Amino acid sequence: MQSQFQHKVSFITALKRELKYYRYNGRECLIAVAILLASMTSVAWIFSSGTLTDLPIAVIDNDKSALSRSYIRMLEAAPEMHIVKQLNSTEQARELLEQASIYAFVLIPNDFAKDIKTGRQTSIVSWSSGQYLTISSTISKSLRQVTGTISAGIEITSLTKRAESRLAAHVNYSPIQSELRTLFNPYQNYQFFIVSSLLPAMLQMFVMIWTAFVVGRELQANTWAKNLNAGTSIYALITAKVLPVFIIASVIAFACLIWLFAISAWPVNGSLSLLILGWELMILAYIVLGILFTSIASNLATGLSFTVFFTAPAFAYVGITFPQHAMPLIAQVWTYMLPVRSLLRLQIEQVELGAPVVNSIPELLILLGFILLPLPFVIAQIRRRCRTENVGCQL
Amino acid sequence: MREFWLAYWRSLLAIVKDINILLLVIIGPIIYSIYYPFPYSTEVVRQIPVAIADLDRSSLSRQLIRLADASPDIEVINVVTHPDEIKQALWDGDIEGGLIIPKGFRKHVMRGETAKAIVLGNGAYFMFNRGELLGFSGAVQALSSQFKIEHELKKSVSTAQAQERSEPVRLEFRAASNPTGGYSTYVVPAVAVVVLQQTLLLGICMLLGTWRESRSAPFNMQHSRNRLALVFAAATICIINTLYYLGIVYWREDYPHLGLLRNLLPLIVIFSLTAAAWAVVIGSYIRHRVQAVIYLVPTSIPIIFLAGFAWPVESIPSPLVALSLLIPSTASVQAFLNVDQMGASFVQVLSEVLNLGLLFLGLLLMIILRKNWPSSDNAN
Repeated sequence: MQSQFQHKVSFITALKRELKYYRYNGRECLIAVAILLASMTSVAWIFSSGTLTDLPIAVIDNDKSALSRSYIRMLEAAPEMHIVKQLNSTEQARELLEQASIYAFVLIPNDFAKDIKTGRQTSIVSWSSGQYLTISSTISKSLRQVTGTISAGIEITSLTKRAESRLAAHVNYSPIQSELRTLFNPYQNYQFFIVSSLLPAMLQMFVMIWTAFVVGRELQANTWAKNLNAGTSIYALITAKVLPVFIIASVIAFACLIWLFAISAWPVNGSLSLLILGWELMILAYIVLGILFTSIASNLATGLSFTVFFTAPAFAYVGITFPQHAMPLIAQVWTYMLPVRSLLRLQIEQVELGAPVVNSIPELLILLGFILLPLPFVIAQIRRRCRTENVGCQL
Repeated sequence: MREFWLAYWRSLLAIVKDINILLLVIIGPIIYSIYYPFPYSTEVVRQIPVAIADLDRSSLSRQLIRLADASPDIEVINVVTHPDEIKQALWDGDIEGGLIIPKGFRKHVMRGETAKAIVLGNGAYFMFNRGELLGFSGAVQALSSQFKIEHELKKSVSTAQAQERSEPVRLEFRAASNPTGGYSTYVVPAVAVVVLQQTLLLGICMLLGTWRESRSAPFNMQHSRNRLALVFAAATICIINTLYYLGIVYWREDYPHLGLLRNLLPLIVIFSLTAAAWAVVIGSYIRHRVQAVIYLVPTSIPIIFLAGFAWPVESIPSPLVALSLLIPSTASVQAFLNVDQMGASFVQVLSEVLNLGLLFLGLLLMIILRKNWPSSDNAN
């Protein structure tokens, strides 16, 4: 009982000391939060149009027939593309392509109309900038649709001319069809796809770096050693130290969730409370990892540098834009070392797939593992740091 | 001039001697050059695990399953009898998409009606959705055109004519750059420029923060000549790093590499100078050693997406586009991609170079005019 009471008192003293710090030196934290929020807002704003529309392309019409002109009008009508120029030579078009003034050009051959009328096959060639992968694949998809439509129209006309009923011609043009049903995010909105995963990716940077900073600073200045000697418990010190970080990060997390699922109103197909729990556990996981990194490193700057290397490029490994299963085996294994991956999988399961809670338990357990497994080592390491540094002082 | 070179060498020395700054500006780019391309090293997403719900169980549906299985984009790992099994497997993460062949599939075709197969794409992951669409619709089309050509054959003279008539307008795709559609080729050369800029920024900020905190600038920073020396020292490091990326990393990763040295070199120099001046200007506001690290890391994410390689500049709101011109990487990413990956000449990226040049001049002016710099009281 006595010791429990003492714990409580020392925790409150430590917390008071923390709050005093934030009251008088809160500017530093305020700026960091402001920069984080500005980054998050910019990312949401960058993708605000959601889908790719009016991508600049060019057309070279070597046929200049009524048919080629109607094909061009169909291209122009496609929402994804916008014809900025009609050119005469491929050299000109390639030049525009190289300097990214356009992302693709379409070449309509000589005798386009004549070939079609005489029942010969004709080829339209599209050149695109594969370097801009997302953009060029959006254009390709749209071109395939437009060309498929005109091709179907021509064939159905040709079949009806050859004395088939219009209905039979429709069937015979394409006896078997595929119907695409995109499950989850059916309009393939980039804003939701990318912003909902970039927000946690930015939050994890802030949480881990800021934790490594506030804890590392104490270790550097050797203030914790003095407090420990004065009888404050190590648990009280650590909890009081990271509690403000946890609260700030949670408020930001809630702001993100409110923006995603209330203001932007993206539907949640699974459990929202599980999702919230996931975000909170991710914050805790990065707090523990932040203390771990900074307590292992020999000084504050080194600890922070490793924290940066761990969190800044993490998004490349989370398997959102490039799926985990296509990565080399070592990379696939490494992704499990990143708590943000577990959260993002959980988020996709709960928000989009609408999976039952039980399917997300493994991700929750991984996140819990990040919190609980390093903890004994972290405590021991901080104790050791405080002792050795104390000895260093006395020497 | 002697003072300039002295400050230049002292800057370089200060960077190399401080292990933490070295970690950021030299070792960091080397670590990233291995770490970043690694997950993407397979370049393309193939063999996406999918399941097929065969409700028809006919010879035709089996033929479709075989065709789907033959597609390099997808791998049919399971054929089930009920669509719910697909849903469960999706939840479990065993498959990433599926196909439903409805009951009466074969009967419809035999009766001369249109039959439909339903592709279930996984829209939660865009790469999966695209691959599944390609794989399944390719299989369905292949099956469909077998019938179509058979039908055309009845009315045409030859197989060739039947084939031509079954697809009057063909669409040929050619890629002017990144011909294999590689993901690594698409992401890494763009992100690399941001990595080079941001690591230099953090390192220079740590340098200036340390000097200000402990009043230990190794030369008198009140002389603008010495400040310029610092810019040139930082630019020197950036030039070496950029050459390492363009020359060694891109070669090792086997990216298309079309830039001629005479086009690339001026670009590398102007990028490095601008990134260095940018770092020094921001660094002059830094109060202590690790301040930039705790502030600036999350900004790399918007900086990457403002560069316009993943999300086109045309779709970014114009106020953001205007602001993004103040970041060296925005114009640099475009210029490097155009020249090195897409084969443009130096003249073709003149507008990007002009943007960088103006930005560099503006930053230089700030460096020359600003009065508040770290002092050198405690320098030994």
